[in-house]
Amino acid sequence: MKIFRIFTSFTLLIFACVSLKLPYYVNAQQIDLAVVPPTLEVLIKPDTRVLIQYTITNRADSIGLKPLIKTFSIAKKLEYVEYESVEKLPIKLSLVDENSETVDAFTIAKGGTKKIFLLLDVPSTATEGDYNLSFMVETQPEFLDKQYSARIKSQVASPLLVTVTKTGKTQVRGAISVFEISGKLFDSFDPIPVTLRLKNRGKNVLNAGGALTVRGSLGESAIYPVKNQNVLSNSEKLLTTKLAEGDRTAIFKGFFIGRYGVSASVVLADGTVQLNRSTSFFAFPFKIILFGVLGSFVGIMLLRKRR
Amino acid sequence: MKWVWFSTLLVIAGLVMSAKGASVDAQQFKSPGYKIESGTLILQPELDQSSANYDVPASFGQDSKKKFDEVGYVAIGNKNTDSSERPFIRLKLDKSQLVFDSAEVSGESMQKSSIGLLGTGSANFLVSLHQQEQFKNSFGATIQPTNCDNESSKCTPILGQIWKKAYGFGYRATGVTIKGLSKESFFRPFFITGPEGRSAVLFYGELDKKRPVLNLQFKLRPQPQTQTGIYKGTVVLTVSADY
Repeated sequence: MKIFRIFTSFTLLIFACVSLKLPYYVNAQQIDLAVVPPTLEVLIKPDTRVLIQYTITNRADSIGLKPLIKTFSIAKKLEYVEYESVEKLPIKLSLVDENSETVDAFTIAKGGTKKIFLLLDVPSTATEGDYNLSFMVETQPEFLDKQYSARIKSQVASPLLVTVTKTGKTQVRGAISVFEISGKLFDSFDPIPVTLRLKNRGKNVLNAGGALTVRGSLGESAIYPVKNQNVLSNSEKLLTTKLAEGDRTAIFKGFFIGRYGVSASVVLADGTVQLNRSTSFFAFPFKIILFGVLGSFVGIMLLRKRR
Repeated sequence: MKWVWFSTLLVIAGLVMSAKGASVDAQQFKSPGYKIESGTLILQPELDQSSANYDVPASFGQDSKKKFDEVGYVAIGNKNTDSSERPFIRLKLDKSQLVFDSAEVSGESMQKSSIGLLGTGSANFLVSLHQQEQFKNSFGATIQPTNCDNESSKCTPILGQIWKKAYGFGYRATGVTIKGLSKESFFRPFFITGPEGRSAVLFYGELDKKRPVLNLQFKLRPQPQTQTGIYKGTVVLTVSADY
């Protein structure tokens, strides 16, 4: 009987400890959404209508979503994106389902997909130019009934760049606004940061690609392709390579010695326009020389002491 | 002294000899969107600006001009990649509801959420964050965004600063491309905009495919004299393919 009482007390004690330690249950809703296509560019004449299909796939639990269409613009140094309503645009945009009925919200079951159609209607009076739009699906998580709680609405966005043109002609006016290496003199083992920015002064979005070429004084050279990227009209953008990090187009890493010439070649308008700029840097093994000199000095001192 | 000069010269000579054989990771000059043919290029070696008016871009596909004239439009997705896979953008978020449970007891609460991004056909991602509505209770009392600790150099929606003592609501993030937000104790407030407006960029670029995760850390420090009630806030996370 005594053993039974001890056992019961012990079990209750463990249960109490575990209960106190357990965090209270929170239904933290997970999100796993995919949108196809991720980007779209449309060149369209006034007085034309087109239906664009988006497919949304949900891989997490059943979820309620809201489709949205907004304009977007990017701050000069990419500090923020500004999303605005499309209501005042001269082009008309509406979101419909397979039955051509307006969609405000919908639910997708786990593993399910949903097709949403964006009806782009460009009236004959629409002004020629670019309209930078973003199709989005937005989650609608509920608030929890706790003293301090927040919900994270997730938006998966697919940029839609619309160029309205009567003739199909677009204007490309690009300029390399920045091409620089942060510094002129480096240690041989230092990373070399390179920045290449392109400014689009034209009325239409432009597509830029190209390459960075590094040539050493000993004859070695390397070419790094610049990724093909769109630059919106009247905006500036950092061009990137596979060596890009943060706000740098490339960071060259390795061992450098002597003078190096770095040239940027930016290609626009389907390769019909090329912009070129070049700069240079010097690298020497300062740290090794310093260690060598110090090592030799210490060695000589030790030898002299022995004698 | 002769030994010093001899050793130094020996070190330099060794370095020069080894550097001569060293090569940088060279690649071929190719890109999916264009092909360089010197005969068709307008070469401007000394100029940094150029303009051209050109017809329906070839990047819209074969016969794009003919199609544009006939049907009135041309469209293309997946332009900036040569990937053969079907393009998509995919967002995974491990937690979309946050409970700042220890805020009422210890005066401060941190909550984490991780963003996973996947996709093909889009070279870069753009991730941004804003607050749709302030933390407020049913009587309209609010919790203000943090200004961080240094009164003379406050944090802003685009500038992170050290935040340990002051009151308010803010966030920090790791795995992002913006500077100064991954540092320990560096936080910033949100743009509070409503459904439209500014959203602060956290990340722009290609994700590390081995570890495609950004970590968000939200911090709430309500003032001790904050009115009682149920406080709720909405944060909006936008993940976009590169434009």
